[in-house]
Amino acid sequence: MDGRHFVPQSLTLPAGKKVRLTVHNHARLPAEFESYDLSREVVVPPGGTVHIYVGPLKPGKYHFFNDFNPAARGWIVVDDAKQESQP
Amino acid sequence: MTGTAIVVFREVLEAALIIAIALSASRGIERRGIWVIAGMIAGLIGAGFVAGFADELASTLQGNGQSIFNAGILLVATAMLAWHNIWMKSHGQQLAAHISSVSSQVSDGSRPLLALAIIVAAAVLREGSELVLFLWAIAAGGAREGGMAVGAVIGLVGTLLYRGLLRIPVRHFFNVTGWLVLLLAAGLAAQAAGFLNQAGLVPALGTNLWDTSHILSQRGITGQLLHILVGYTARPSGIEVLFYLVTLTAIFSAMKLVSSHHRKLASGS
Repeated sequence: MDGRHFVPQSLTLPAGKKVRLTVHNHARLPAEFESYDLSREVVVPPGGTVHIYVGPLKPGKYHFFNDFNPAARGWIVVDDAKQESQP
Repeated sequence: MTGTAIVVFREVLEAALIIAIALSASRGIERRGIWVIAGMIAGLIGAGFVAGFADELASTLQGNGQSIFNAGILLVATAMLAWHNIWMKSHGQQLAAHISSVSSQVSDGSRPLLALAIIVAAAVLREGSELVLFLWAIAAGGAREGGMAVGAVIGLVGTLLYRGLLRIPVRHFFNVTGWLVLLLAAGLAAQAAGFLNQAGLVPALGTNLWDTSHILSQRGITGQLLHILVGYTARPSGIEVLFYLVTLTAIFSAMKLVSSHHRKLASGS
């Protein structure tokens, strides 16, 4: 991410699995990766990298944003496809 | 500017409310003001350091340093609140008598004051360091005004809570603050659980156990206040609920135990 954008803006993750997200801040200003949907809140210092564990999640859409610049938004789509194909 | 004001408000609100509750709960203990101010100063210095070393903190422990640090601070605050409440169970009546008579000296008052200072320092440290980083981020954007006004509003919220609590009759006063501290401690423990889960150290035990965000959103002012005061979470994970209940039960049973022990001593002599 930089100050105003998340790259990529959307991610697709499998349902029912614990996933580690890696967030890198390319901007020269601190940012905070925050999500009400995921109950996550992590400050990402300028040039810094943090890891955030999420899930296991149910299928759905989860929004996140930069709390220090709420114009920066993104979302995670949790996909059920793999589980449906198993049985 | 409005966005700035809201974030500043949110970050400082928790510290203000915790200080208000800590001040109320320590009513009647001598020289608590000095300890609260010492706690605030220590917290502010700490916040400056944390903000300054945010990069190092974030990159330690495989990029989980910050979450673990936050969880640690919250657990320290929880422990101190718990300890304060348990201490109050054996000294509360003495304090209540002291407040209503304003005659006898309360002895043995310095130990809970250290706990009080640590609670205040922890609250200021956690919220303060985030605030410093946030203000740094927006200062570059040129939106600087508003911060002072927000600070004043939050000061007012804290003062209102404190004044409101002081209106409670002395006989019930420590009961009410005791419950407040108990719920506050449980809420902080649940937040700590969230941070530990975020760092991958504890399992989620089910995400979004329930979702009441359409009834009472955590983003609104009511939801925010309840989140801080009693640990309301619109979409909690299993581990947060577990930490909440365990903390609540543990402190409550310890309080009951001390209280009945104390009564036995009083009736025996």
